[in-house]
Amino acid sequence: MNKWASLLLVSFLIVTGGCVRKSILDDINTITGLGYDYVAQNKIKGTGLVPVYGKGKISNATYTATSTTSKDMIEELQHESSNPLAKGSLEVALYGERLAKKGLIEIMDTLRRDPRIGERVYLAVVKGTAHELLEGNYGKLGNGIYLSDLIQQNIEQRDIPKTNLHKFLYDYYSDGKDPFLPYMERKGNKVKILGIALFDNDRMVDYIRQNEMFYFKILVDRYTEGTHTIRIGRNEYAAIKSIVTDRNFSISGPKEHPNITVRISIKGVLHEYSRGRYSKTTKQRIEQAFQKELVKKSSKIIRELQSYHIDPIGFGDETKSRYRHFSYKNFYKNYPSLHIDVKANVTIIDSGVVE
Amino acid sequence: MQSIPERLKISPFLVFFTISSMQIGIGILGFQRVIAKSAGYDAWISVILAGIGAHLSLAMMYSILQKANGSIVEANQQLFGKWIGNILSILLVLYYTGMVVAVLRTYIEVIQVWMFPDLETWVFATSFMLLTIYIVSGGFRVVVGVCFFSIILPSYLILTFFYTFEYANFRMLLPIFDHSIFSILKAAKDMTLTILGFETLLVYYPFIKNVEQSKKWAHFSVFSTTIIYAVIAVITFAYFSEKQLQKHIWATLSMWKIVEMPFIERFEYLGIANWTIIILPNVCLAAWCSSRIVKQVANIRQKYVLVAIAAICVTSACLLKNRNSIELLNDVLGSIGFYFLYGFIPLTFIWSHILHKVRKKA
Repeated sequence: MNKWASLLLVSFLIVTGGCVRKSILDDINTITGLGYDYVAQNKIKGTGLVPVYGKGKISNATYTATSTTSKDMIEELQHESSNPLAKGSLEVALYGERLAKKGLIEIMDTLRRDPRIGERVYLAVVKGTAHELLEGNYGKLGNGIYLSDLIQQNIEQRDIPKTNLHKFLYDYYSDGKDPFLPYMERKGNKVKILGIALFDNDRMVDYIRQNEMFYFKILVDRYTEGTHTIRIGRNEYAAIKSIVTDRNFSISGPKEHPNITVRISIKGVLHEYSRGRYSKTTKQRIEQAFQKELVKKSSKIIRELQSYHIDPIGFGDETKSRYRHFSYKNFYKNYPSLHIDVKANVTIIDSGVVE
Repeated sequence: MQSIPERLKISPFLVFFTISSMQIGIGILGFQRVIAKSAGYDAWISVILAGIGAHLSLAMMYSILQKANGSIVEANQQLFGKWIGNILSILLVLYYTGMVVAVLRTYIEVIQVWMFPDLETWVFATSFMLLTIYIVSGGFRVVVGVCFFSIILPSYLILTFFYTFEYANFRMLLPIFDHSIFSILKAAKDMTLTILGFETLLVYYPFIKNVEQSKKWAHFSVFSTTIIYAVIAVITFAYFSEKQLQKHIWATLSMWKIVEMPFIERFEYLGIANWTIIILPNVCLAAWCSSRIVKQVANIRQKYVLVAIAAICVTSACLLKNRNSIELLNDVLGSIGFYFLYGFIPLTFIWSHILHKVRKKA
């Protein structure tokens, strides 16, 4: 290849290299949060959250627009924004409770179809409206980061089971599992997690209350770093930390109507014990009280889920993987009357630095 | 038949790279959905079956070529006579050119959908084909060099799939063999487009230094790609639920959306950009093959043929406007490839075997 040909090649590459649209960071508004609320039949209100970078601090700006459900909300929001809106760094998408009860999957279509939106985006249901929550001012890093940190921290160390856009869609499309999302509320200048919203397909039906979230997480996910306080007797409490949990299922009987046993095993370290000396017998007492409470509360949650005819724990999928030619339809026909047993095994490994 | 000078030949171990770099291309970006359509989550078995099929086909190719002691052009001429043989060779030119178009256009589509929606097809196609002309006019050894780097450089990408393990549920692969053997075989057939590529051996066979030794490398190469495909299939099946997977045209790229590193929030952009290096030998080697066949059959200088083929490729890539037409091309190429690997090759193998025996006696 001679000199002229290579020169031609290089200049062609340089010229055509500028042929696509550029997005310069200073000239775009990055959306970090999106909120959707129900207004009327086929009409939703969208709220876009954009951080505004000032000197030493980040404030929040919100854009709102109302459109029909099918239309791309971000396009509508664009009408209010001076710079093009970029959705590449979306952190959270919030849905108002009323909307969640009508169904979310249509609205979620833009989120999963757009290649620019990551799969790690957190979704959550808001008590009241998402608009109101996004209007607040939380933290120093802007609302988007605040909300995603709030959820992330609660997933890693507290009672929210692993959740994000991918997980929601996995559960939604799975025949033997139903999705769930964190459920939150604005409290002045803070956001509080109220529980876990439960879904039947894409419609929210109820939520797990805050004091039951611990048991719910054990059932659907696993703890690697939890804490929990149990009441053993009158004025007798024990706090356990560094909780590591595991669950497995044993399933027997006919595939349409199997007997399911959930075995939960928990290991933890005693963090605080309110009364008297800690000895071998107290250790056993704590373990037993914990086990009893686990079985009681978990069974109650499972019974509630059965009565709603929803399956966020994934009994359907677990059963499917154990039988050939399994039919989800027959399984879920009998689901409310299935006998689901919970067995718990608690081990306290250590009692801190004192005896 | 002129023999290839020793200095233009390649070492037998490089066959490993020419074969696997050709196999790994665009198919791997989205084969999971296609195979799961018929065989569900038993489809990883189909991947292995398709791999076994590829091994058999490869062994037969070697046997045909060894008996002909030359490339497929000489083999065709010896087996079917000059006229029919040459017609078959010209059909192969169309096949390899089709492959260039399919690879190029599918990759451009990926860029358009995932990165730059306003990228014009002709811009990328022209730049890429200019690069291809530049590489291919450097000769076969340069093309092999590109193949070598296209395996080595992007090989780190396989590690990124371990990010999905956080969300993987391997239980859903159970129970194994829940689908009929028929649907598993059907999925193995659907796998053809992905596993295709090693048939370029038919053309560059005379360029291999020590043929006997290269066999081992060729089979090892097909084996490795099969394993990679099977592993990716299993990881994908664990990561997506079955109906969710059907929604994703490029499941491999969709899996990258979960990868998050401290220095890069979204990995798929890096991955897609990196994929250029994987696509490059696909286009180069296929373009080299088709121009080489024309050179042998019609005795035209390879350089001119190459430019003509590049022009044809750019034009046809621009004519494919949307997803449906691209998918159609890929489907057609997949089925042609299927009948080529498991129809034409075995028949030619038997025919060459018979002819060889007869001629020996005579």
